[in-house]
Amino acid sequence: MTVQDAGVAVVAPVTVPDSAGVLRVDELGVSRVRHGVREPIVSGVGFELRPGETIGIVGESGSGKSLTAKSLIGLLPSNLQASGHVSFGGESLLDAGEARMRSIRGSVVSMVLQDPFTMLHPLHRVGQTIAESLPKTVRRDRARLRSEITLRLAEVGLDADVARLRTFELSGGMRQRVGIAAALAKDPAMLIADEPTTALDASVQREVLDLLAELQRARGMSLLLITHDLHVAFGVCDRIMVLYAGTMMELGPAEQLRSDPRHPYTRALIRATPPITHVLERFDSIEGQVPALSDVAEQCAFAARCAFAVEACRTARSPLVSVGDGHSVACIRQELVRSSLDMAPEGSGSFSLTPIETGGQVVARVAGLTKTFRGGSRATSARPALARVDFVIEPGESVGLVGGTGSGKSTIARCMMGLTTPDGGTIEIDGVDVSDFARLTAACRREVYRSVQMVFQDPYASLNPALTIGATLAEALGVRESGDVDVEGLLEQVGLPAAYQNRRPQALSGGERQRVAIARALAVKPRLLICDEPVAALDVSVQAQILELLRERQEALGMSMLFITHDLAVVRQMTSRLLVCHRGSIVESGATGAVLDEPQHPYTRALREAVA
Amino acid sequence: MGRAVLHRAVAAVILFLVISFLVFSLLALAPGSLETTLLGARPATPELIAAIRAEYHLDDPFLVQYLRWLGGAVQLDFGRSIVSGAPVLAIVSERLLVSVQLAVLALVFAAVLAIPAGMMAAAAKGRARDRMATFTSVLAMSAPPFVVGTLLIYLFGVYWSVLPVYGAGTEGFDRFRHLILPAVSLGLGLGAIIFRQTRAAALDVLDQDFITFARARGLSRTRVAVTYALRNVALPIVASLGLVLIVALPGAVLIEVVFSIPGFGSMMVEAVGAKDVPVVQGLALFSAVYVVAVTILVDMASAAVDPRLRRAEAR
Repeated sequence: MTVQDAGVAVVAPVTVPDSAGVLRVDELGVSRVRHGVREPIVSGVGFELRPGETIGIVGESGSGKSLTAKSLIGLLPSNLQASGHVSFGGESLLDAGEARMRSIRGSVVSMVLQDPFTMLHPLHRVGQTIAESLPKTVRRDRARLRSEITLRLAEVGLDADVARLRTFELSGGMRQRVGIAAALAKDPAMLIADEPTTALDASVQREVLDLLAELQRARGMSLLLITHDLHVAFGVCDRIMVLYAGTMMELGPAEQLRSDPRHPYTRALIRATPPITHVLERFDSIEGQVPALSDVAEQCAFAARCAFAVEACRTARSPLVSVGDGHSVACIRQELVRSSLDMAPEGSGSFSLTPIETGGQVVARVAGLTKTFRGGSRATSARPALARVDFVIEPGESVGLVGGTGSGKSTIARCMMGLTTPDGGTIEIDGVDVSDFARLTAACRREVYRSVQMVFQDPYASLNPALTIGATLAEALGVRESGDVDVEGLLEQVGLPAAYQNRRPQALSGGERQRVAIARALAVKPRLLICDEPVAALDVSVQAQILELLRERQEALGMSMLFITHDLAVVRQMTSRLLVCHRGSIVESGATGAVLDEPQHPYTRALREAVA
Repeated sequence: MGRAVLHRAVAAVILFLVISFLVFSLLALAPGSLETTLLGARPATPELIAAIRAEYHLDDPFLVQYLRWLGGAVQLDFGRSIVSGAPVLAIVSERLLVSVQLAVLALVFAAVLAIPAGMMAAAAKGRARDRMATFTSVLAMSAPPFVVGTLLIYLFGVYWSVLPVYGAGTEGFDRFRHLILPAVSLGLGLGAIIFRQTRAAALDVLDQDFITFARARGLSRTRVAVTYALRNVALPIVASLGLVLIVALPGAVLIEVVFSIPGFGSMMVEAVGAKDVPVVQGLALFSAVYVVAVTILVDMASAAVDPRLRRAEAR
């Protein structure tokens, strides 16, 4: 059996004599120890991060990217253990004691975390958060401390006044900036950023990424960026490492990975992210789910989902081999993979979504909708959540609703579902005035819920964990008048095997749960399906599956869809008409393609530029 | 903040009214006649009984009796003890003072021991130290305080003879010395409750991102433990401290008996047994005052710990 073609050599550990400021990781593994049994989660990770360099670790949830990062600075949860070699500037980090690690953290290697809403001390003022990381000599001198804090805030683009505010008075983007300033207060040589923008709005994401890149350049520090989004990594990183089920799939210069990805998984990841410029005729989704490392220890972790897999892939781990230019890949079929597929984006706008002609009356009419929430924090109670929203959804039409956090897009959906009562204006669904659900009779309400259904963002929270899938769907079908309960047919519609009806939600993956949630919504054959960020909580490879399913179902059933999302690329794929929501008003509307290609309103333009 | 205190005060007044009325009616409904108690050893001649009934207004309608008592209570006149004839206010407040001192001392002892232990156990979750501490807390919670008290009397009163074991002493340092052993016996069980609350709250907080982030920045161990962990655990701890302080008052009855302390609990038992209505009413009302005072203290402490609560109240 020959797996290595000519010209391809096994990567040998590179020895650089000067190790100052270099992070060297070799054969790093992380395993969970339970009752004396070691269960591997990450294995065989190795790379080198040089001063001033940015490396991205890209992977889906469960790939072990966060644990890899945490193991580098000794912050693994107590039930996990790291093995292998990690050294910074020649000093081993895995063997260093907790006291030594404490002096390394912050001043040599620092880290910012994913969620700015939970990362900072909830009760501190910004000034305190930054001050506590500054040296004692600075802290003792009040005038110097104040000017130092001002300086540090300025570095991350914040005003000096922010120092007086408490954490809960800041927006997400500001919190992340404060977090970065605090992480850099001891001027570390290296920064680990663990999904620093995932919890932020699209427009703010770009700003924070730019800030990180700028700081990295200005300070000449090295940056390890952990992200699930390959495109984010392309934008910021010099080199990228793709991690799958705790193993390295590919490592190489960002430019090479973008133009010449060698691993089938990398290619699939790139293609799974929908383009914003045109509509795909078909999504390139990766079927199946990420396995646990312990289940694929003796084979290529991706083999089960790989179109190129042969017997050899399933019997032995594919070694990481160099393909030149610091680019290495763990795939024995990479030569074939490379020659078989062109990576050029297929179809250039030829495919377009058109409303299905079904006739009949308008499905939903929203007019002059207003809503103000009371009792929120100061910032949100100052202005209404909705200020006169008007729109119409025609039969068979798929309408997109985009906007940032707090723009009011979810409030619109909740009003249409009767989950929130609007202050003013009217909502008509299928000819019935549903402006105030409380005033409808029970029979009338049931009738309305046969016309409109909703798919929620978080499939982990939207299914009753106590009910089997079959019971959940039967319950939904029971609302239908005809009385026939065809659970299997419903499961088949969303691409799940009939056997799933006996399972409970916790036995399903996120993507499968979302399929069940869609099946539940489709049970009553609604005329209008409202999807509120249906793929935002899912991994990229699964997102495409769900989007494909929704598009296919919408077409097959001829229903209308209101698709709410923050993701412009997704909305391009899913809708023919687009509404842009900003501060509780629709600021722009029109054909999806036209709005995205030639945005008129400044807010739409800002959204569009954040993606480009 | 001012408005919140006002709300609290109005609620407290209503609470006091309801409690006094309930206690008043309960005693009126209880079996056994008041006259017999009031007669004492004197012969039960009809004239004497009539005189007593007139003196204590026992022939008035129930509501009139209650209102008369209430009218006095508003002017801090709670009547006189039927048994001793002493003013209720004087004897109750004297007893209450001893009991509150005992409760506070027990709480301080419990908190000083249990809060650091709870934090330590959470930090060492699942390890030997944690299991040891948790086991000890179960032991402390299940050991009856009077048994612990008796043991302490033997050890420190008889065997080493270093601390007083009888009575409450006079005042100041003497009072403190007398209350040490009772407070320890009472505080052990209370400490176990505080320990478990602290440990549970700390486990929750130690998992939070802001702890990881604080560690990732290389902040000192004390800073992470105190400023980050303890400050955020403080809210549930303060709530449990308040609860424990309230429980400590009636919980001290047995301890008071063991150490012969003239406290609130033993007085309550005596007064109920003797059907000493004015004293029971006074005790019930004062314990209501105590509970409300502790709750207000807890609220103020919580607001001091968490500025978000201050804002919520300001609205």
